Amino acid sequence: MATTTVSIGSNQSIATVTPASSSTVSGEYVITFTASVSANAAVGDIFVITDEASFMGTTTYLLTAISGSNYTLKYLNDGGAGSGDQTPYGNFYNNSFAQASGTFKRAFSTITLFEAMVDDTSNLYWGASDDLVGECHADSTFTDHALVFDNKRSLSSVTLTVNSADRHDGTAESGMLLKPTSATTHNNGIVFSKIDDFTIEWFDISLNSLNSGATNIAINIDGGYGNGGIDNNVVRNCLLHDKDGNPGSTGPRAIMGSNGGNAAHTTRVQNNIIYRFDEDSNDTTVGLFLNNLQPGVVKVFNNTIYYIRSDGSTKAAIGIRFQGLANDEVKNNIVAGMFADGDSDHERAFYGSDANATVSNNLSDTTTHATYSAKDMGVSYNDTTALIGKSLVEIDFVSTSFGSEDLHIGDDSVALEAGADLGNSDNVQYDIDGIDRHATNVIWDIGADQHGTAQAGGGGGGGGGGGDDAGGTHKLAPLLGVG
Amino acid sequence: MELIVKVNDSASYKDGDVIDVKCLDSINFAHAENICNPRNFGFNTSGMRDRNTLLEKFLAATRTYKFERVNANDVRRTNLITGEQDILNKTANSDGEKIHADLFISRRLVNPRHKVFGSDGSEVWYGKLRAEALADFILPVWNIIESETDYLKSDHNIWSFSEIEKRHFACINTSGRSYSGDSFTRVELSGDTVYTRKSSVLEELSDSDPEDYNPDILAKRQWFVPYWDLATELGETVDNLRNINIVCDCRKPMDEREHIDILTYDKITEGLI
Repeated sequence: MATTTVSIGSNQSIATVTPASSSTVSGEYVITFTASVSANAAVGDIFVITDEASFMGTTTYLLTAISGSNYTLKYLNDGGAGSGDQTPYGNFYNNSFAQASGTFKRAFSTITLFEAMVDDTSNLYWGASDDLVGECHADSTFTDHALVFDNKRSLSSVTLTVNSADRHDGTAESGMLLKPTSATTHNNGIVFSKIDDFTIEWFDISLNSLNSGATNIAINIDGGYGNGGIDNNVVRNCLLHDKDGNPGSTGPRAIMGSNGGNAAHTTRVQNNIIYRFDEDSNDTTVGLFLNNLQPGVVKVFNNTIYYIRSDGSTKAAIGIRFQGLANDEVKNNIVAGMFADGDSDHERAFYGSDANATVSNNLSDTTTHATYSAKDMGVSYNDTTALIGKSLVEIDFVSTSFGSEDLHIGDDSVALEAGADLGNSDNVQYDIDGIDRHATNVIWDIGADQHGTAQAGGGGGGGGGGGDDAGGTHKLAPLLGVG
Repeated sequence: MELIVKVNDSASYKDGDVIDVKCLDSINFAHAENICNPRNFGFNTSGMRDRNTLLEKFLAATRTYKFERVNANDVRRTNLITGEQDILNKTANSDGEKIHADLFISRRLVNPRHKVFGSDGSEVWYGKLRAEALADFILPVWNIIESETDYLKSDHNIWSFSEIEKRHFACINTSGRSYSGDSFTRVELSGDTVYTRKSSVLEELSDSDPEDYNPDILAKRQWFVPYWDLATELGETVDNLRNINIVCDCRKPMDEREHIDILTYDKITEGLI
């Protein structure tokens, strides 16, 4: 299956450059330019060039590859000029009859318009059955809301991701940021997937401007019960944070699975950091609310969840809510900082309904009632691999300071080297910084951050390691741009 | 206020649907962020950002908190809106907040987009993009940009739609009216007036629906622009708007813009749903 990447960002004047040479490879144009191109230009951008001297047409290309000074451009549209020859070099002239320059721009200026184009066409800018990647750039803050992906035509998959140069570093506002400024429909979600084979990764979503709004969900996955269900949705390596206030009849949820599922379908939530979901008016708050996807399968791996607060004497603060059917898996998650009113058992780090899932190596803290700890999860799992009753000092987050949170773990964390090795399927091995736990053959930590560097006894991909030691912390070089 | 409108039906959008909206403040802010993007600024010999640059002034004007390292362990946090200050360190305060300054800073510095200013031991950084309406701080932001650079706010009043978008959608701007007697002046629109134009039509909830029930989307957009009847107002023919080979941009100067009620219609009010 072919993959097509298109860029999303507000920069429509990335670089204006003049072609210096051209060759054709597999129907695409490999171009060099008379001057170096800004490093901000990236695969997925478009290149727009106008002939001002003869046929007056404006032609658009998609940048499909960069190799040194060679830029591969795929022809998209000539504005109906019908000039025939679409070679960017030696074919477009300025008013002085010299080679015209062209400009690199983002393909789409908002995520909303990318979604609308996914809904519109299958084969104008990408192949009808492609794996389509919408790659966001941190040109400016995205303010999209109500991003409903409900039709992908015949595309094989749709991925929303972030260019490797613009990804967060595990802390808020350090890379691409999606921070809506107007409310989304209650119970729907800022990003709402109703399609198969949908992945959202590396997003930093802040709900901080929506404290007086009805938005209560960052990412919603619609199980589609009654419509055959949707399959293979993945939320990974995201930062979801800062919902305060009273969104309405239902409290905040960082990630929501809704409307039932299909037993043959799977949803994966892995390597995300979620913090500060805080209800102000008599509602339950949940970090990951996934049990409504049942009988669909959920895989919940290596997430870090901190500071979930509910309000009201009968309401609960819940870290991970899941059904617990036989194919569900909940492993390597840190859940800490559950705050609720009323009875102490309203503070629930892990809350399953059935005790049939595979659970292991999860961690809960002192704020959680024992029944809902990483060991028992509300239904007597009695998981002996769990770490329970740990204090925040023992978990050792780098910073829990409001406005400068950093939920990486420190050198003394009990989560270090306490996780289960989950292999390398479905990209589960990439931590919140893009470190490949599998290739570097480390002993897995619990949570989204891989801080420990001790080598596993065997297996793994070997190699890796080395790299930068950021002040005596990470010894592993993040692998940005992973698939 | 700018609207971008669907041209022709697609799988779940209808011809004329208002796909996206932009208010002037958000347009101005996006341009400001492009100008003040960290990738446009270099590093000093400590690997940090120089103090008192446009980048730092931009962050000071747009963030809620300033963090200053005052010694090996302590970090002073200043709320830039209220002026309140406190000290954070490895020992949790009464709210459970703590910071391991060395670790925090060293992790930031490996990010080529980092926004840590100053020098070793006296680092400064900013946190949390302000949550208030952009109208509360967009003017100071542009005052800073205009005083530090040759960029002018007045040159950054339109959204930069892409070539693809202008071929497939109709870019329109509109206005409100401020009346004085029988006469009016055209004014920018903001807030809910803008954002409701992007809303969906949902099924009504009943008392028997469970708490977490999310309502069906009956129409992906509630508002539409019947551009096929508005060729004169938009200054563009229907044929051109529907031809993806033609880049159309129907945006006009403020004194030529049509009122929002002339361009946008509610499907419910119009009896279409």
